[in-house]
Amino acid sequence: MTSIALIGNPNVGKSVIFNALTGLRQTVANFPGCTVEKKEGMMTGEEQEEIQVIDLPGVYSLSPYSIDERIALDYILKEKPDLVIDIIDGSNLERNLYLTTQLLELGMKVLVVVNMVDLAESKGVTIDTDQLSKVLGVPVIPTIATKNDGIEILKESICDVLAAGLAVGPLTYDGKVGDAVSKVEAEIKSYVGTKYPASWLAISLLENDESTWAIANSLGISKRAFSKKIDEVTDDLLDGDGMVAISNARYSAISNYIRNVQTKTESDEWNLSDMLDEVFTHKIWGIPLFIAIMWGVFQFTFTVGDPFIGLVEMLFGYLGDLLFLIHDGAFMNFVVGTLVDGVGSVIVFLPNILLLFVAIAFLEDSGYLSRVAFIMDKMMNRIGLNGQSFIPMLLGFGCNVPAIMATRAIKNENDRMTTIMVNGFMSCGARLPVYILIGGAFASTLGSPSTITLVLYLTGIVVAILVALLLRNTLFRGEGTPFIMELQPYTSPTAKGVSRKTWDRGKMFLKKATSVIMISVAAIWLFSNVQFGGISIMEEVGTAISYLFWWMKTDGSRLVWQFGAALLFGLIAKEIVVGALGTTFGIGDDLAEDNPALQTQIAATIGPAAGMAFMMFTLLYVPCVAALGVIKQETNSWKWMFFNMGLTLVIAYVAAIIAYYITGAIVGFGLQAAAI
Amino acid sequence: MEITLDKLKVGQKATIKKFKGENTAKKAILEMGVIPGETIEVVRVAPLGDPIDFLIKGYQLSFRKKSASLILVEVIEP
Ligand SMILES: Nc1nc2c(ncn2[C@@H]2O[C@H](COP(=O)(O)OP(=O)(O)OP(=O)(O)O)[C@@H](O)[C@H]2O)c(=O)[nH]1
Ligand SMILES: [Mg+2]
Repeated sequence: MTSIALIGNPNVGKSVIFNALTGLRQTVANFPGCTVEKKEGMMTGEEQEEIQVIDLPGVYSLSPYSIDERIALDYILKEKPDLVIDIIDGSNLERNLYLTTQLLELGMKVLVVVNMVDLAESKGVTIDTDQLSKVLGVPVIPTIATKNDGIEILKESICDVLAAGLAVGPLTYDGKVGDAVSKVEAEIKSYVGTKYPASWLAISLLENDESTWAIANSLGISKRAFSKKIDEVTDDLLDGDGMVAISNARYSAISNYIRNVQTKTESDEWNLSDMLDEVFTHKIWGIPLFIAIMWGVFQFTFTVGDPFIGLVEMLFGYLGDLLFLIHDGAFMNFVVGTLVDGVGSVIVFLPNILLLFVAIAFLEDSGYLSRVAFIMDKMMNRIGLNGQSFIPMLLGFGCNVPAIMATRAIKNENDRMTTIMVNGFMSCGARLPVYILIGGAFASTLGSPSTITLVLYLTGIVVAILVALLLRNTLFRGEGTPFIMELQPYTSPTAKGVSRKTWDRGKMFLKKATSVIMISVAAIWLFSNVQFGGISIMEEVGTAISYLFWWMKTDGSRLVWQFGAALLFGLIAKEIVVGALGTTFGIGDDLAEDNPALQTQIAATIGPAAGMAFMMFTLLYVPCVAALGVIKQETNSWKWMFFNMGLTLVIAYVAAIIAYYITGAIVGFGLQAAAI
Repeated sequence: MEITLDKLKVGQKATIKKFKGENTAKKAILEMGVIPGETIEVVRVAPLGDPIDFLIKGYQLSFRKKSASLILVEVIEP
C-alpha cells in the first residue's frame, strides 16, 4: 500500500494536519513532545484508493537523542515511505529547514508544507512558497492547519506527487565541506548499496553521528578502519571540527534558499507572548505563580464542580427509587447496590473530573508547560533530573498512563526511568473522588476538602521528588542530560480544542466506570452478600487487609473492613475505591445511598486520623492496573513493573503511618463528635 | 570583548565565535542554529539563575549555563 509519513520539528502542527488528512483525532497540544509514538491513519486518494498516513513524533534533526525521536527516524530510514511530508513552521523558517536539508541529503521524496502561515504573518514574516519550491526543487504548500486552510490543496498535491513521482538527487554542498564529502564518499562508495546515498553517509560520518556509525557498520564500514581517514579529512578541510562545519554548511545553504523567499518587517513592538513571559518566568514571581496556578486549578475543580455533584447525586437517587418502585427484591438489591451505590458514587464526581481535565487541557494548549520546564529545571537538576521531566509529572495530574508515555521525549535513559517510577505519585484525576468524599466527611475537623486535597497533591509531588533523588543516586545513577528547550510562543487555547480533549478523556472515564468499575463493584457486592457463618467473604478479606493498619488506636476509630476491601479493589483502578465504599456501606440499606449519607457513615465509623491515613495510602500506593501495564510496556520489563508495585506499597505504608500520627496529634484520633 | 556565552547579561547581544571543546550538548545546540557567525541575545534567565533563554535565528531557545560556557562569543557593543 502507498504510505506517506508526516515529519517535522516538534509542535509544528503535524498532528493537526494528520487529523485533517485522515479524519482521526490525535492529541494536539502546545508543547514539544506531544506525540510520542507512531500513529497510523488512512486517507482516500483521487481514485478512491487508500493511502496510509503516518503521524510521527517531532524531531529537530536526524540525530536521535530520545526514544520518540528514534521512532521517527527508524521509520523514515527503514520503512522508506513513498512520500515524506515535511511540515515546517512558517514563523521559524530557518531552524525548521534544517531537518529539510537532512531529508534532501537522504534523497527522500519530500513534499514541504509551510504551516502556521498566520503566526508568521503576525510576526511580520511573509513567505513566497513558489520561490521556495523552486530553490528546493520540491513542491511547497502553505497551510494554516487549525483553520483547515490549504488542506484541500495539500491533498491534491499529495496525490499528484504520488502519481507523477519526484526526481530529486541527494543534496550535497559546495566549498570545503563539499570537497570533504567527496573524499569520504570515494572511500566508502564501494560499500554502500542503493539503500542510502553515499554522499549522505559521508556527511553524517563527517559529523561523527553515532547512529550513522551503526548504519555504516552494518554495511561493512567499521569505525575502526575508517575513522582515521575521516579524521584526516576533517583536519585538512574542516578545521578539525566536522560537527560545526556540517551544521554551518546546512545553515548557509538555508540562508541561500530563503534569501528571496522570506521577507521580514522588523517590528520592535512588544508582543503578547513576551509580556506573558515577563510575568510567568519572572525572577521572583515565576515560581510562586506556578504554585498559585496549581492551587487555582484545584479551587476551580472544587468550587465550580460542587453544585453539579448534588445534581448527579439527585439523578442517581431518583434512579434508585425508581428501580425499587419497579421491583423490590434480591435482584433489584443487586442492581441498585452496584449501579447506584457503587458506580453512581463514582460518577457523581464526573463534574469535578471534567473540570480538572478542562484545566489541564488549558495548560497543555497554552504553551505554559514548556515554561514550567524552564523555571523548574534548576531544581530538577539538583535531584539529578531535567526540567523536561516536569511535563510528564504535570500530565500525571490528569492520568498517569499518557504521562508515563510522555516520558519518551526525555533524552536520558536514567532520567526517563526515574521519571516513570515516580509518576504514579502524581495524583491522577481518579484519586480526586477519594479526597472529596473522605475529605468532605471530615470537613469539620480537618478543614476544607480543597485544602486537604492541595496538601495531598503537594505531598505527592514531594514524595516524587524525594524518591527520584533516591533512585537517581542508586539504581539509575549516571550523568544527566543537558537541558535544551525551545520556548514557543504562548497560544490562546480554543474552546474547541479544550472541549475536545476534555470530552475524549471524560469519555474514557465513563467507559471505565461502566466496564471495569461496574464489574469490580458487582464483584464486591456479591462477595459482600455471600455469607459464611454470618460473615461475608468481603468482610473477611477486608478485615484481613485492615489488619495492615493494626497500629491504629483501638478506640473504635480505626480503619474497618470496608476500607480494606476498597484498597484491595483500588489496585485495579482508583475510582473503585469510592465505588467500593459506596457498595459496602450501602449493604443492608434499602434506599439508594447518596454522598452526604455515605460521608456521615464514614465519619461515624473512623476517626479523622484514620481518614487521613487512608487518603494518604490511596494517593501513594500502586497507581492502577493500566499504569502498571504501561510501565511494563515502557520499561520493557516485568521486573521494573513489580519493582514499582513494591516501591509504591512500601512508601504508601510509611506515609500512612506518618500521616496518621501527625493528623492525630493535631485534631485527635477519636471519632468526630458532630456529624456533617 | 570575547567572553563565554554564559557570562552574557540579559539584553546583551553577541556574535558566536567558536565552540571550545566537546560536550554532550554541542551537537544538539548546533543543530538548533547556534553556529559560529550567528548573533545571539540573552532574553532572560530562569528564576533560579539557570537555564538561560536566548534569542537565536528569531526564536527562543533555552539551555543551561554549563552548555553555554563552552561557547566563545564576541559581545556586540550597543
Ligand atoms: N496559529 C496556528 N497554530 C497552529 C497551526 N497548526 C497547529 N497549530 C497549533 O500548534 C500546536 C501544535 O500542534 P500539534 O499538531 O500538536 O503539533 P505536532 O507537530 O504534532 O507536535 P508534536 O507531536 O509535539 O511533535 C497546537 O497548539 C495547534 O493548535 C496553524 O496553522 N496556526
Ligand atoms: Mg503530534
